[in-house]
Amino acid sequence: MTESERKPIPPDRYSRQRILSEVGDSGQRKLAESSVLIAGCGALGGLQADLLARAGVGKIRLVDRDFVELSNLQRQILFDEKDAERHMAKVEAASARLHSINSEVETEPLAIDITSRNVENLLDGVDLVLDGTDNFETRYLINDACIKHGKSWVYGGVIGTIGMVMLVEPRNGACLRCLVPDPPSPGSVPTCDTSGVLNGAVGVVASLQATTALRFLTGAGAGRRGLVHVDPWNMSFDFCKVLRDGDCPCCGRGEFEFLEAKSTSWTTSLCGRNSVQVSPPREISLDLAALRARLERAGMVEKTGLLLMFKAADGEIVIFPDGRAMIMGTTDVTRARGLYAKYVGI
Amino acid sequence: MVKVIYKNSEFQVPGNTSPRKIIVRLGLNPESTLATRSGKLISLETSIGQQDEIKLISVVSGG
Repeated sequence: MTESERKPIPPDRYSRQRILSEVGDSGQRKLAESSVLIAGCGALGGLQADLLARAGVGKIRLVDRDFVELSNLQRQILFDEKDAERHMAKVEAASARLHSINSEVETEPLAIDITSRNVENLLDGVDLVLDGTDNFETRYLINDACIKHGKSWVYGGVIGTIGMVMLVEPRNGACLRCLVPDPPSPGSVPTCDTSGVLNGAVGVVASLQATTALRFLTGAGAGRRGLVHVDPWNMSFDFCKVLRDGDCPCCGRGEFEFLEAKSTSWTTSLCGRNSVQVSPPREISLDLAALRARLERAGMVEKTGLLLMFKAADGEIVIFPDGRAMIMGTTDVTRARGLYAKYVGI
Repeated sequence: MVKVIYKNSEFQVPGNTSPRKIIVRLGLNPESTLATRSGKLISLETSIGQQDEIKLISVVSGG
């Protein structure tokens, strides 16, 4: 891009950032020309998006499979009570909020589940990936895809009062599998359901991730490489070096086991929620208007933004355009599949 | 004795051991616990001497 083709930077909006020697006009321009993927748009992803939009990152691709609920509002700063009442798709509510914060930022809201089938496409055109997910299954997929395609990503996790952050740069340090070679078994790590989460801990972790992103995107480099471990409730801030494992299956041997496992689970019980997500066995694009017409014969249907909300005598279902559905009010996978088959169809 | 720090608590365990054995002894899960010594991540199979100090960290999944 030539100097004359570059978008001019408004004089006032970023003035407090441009006078920082760490950013400057040059860094600000790089941010405007940057594109990021925020994978998961809840607590961590929401604050990352807020900070990066305010900082002037040019394009933000938002991916999340979920919709807004009242219990999100304690820590998910992009959403409000109206979003929860309307059961808005998180990416849709987030995108609207980000536009009201900074209309110059381009957002791409995608209300989809990240799977081995789509994760590589989601990396197209982005300079950096930020982790806002709430599960290891998706993180190992992101790690595989990013190492394979030479994209950097910023791992972050938070639970209770503690959190951790690490920048993963392909061919330049450790990856997630150098840190934790295999995902912990399902049910072996605490979840927000069993341990809760402190909103201040979310703030610290997401801020560290966003700051890491700003360093990376402005060309300042990674800085101190390794794992940051924080517990803001106890004012604890720790750092440890993580060496690359030459025998790591992913970054060492180039085996992308999670990416190559093309099947994904049909059903997922959702963290902290009395609901089950049912996914179709292959990627589809639902005709929501046609489905709505069919469902109106069986119960009450309402379209809220991107989603269909359906209520019948035997269950309540939230249906997404990619064919996924959240079966509400149950953790019984068999019952959830049954309701999906009955109303959405398989 | 080895000094072990985990979540603001300190424990003393006999030396000549490994992080994995210490993690199991403390009732933690080796699949989801990391060990560091002198500011560096170490393998769970690393030999831990009598005078060592290690920190244990739980892997964090939420977000």
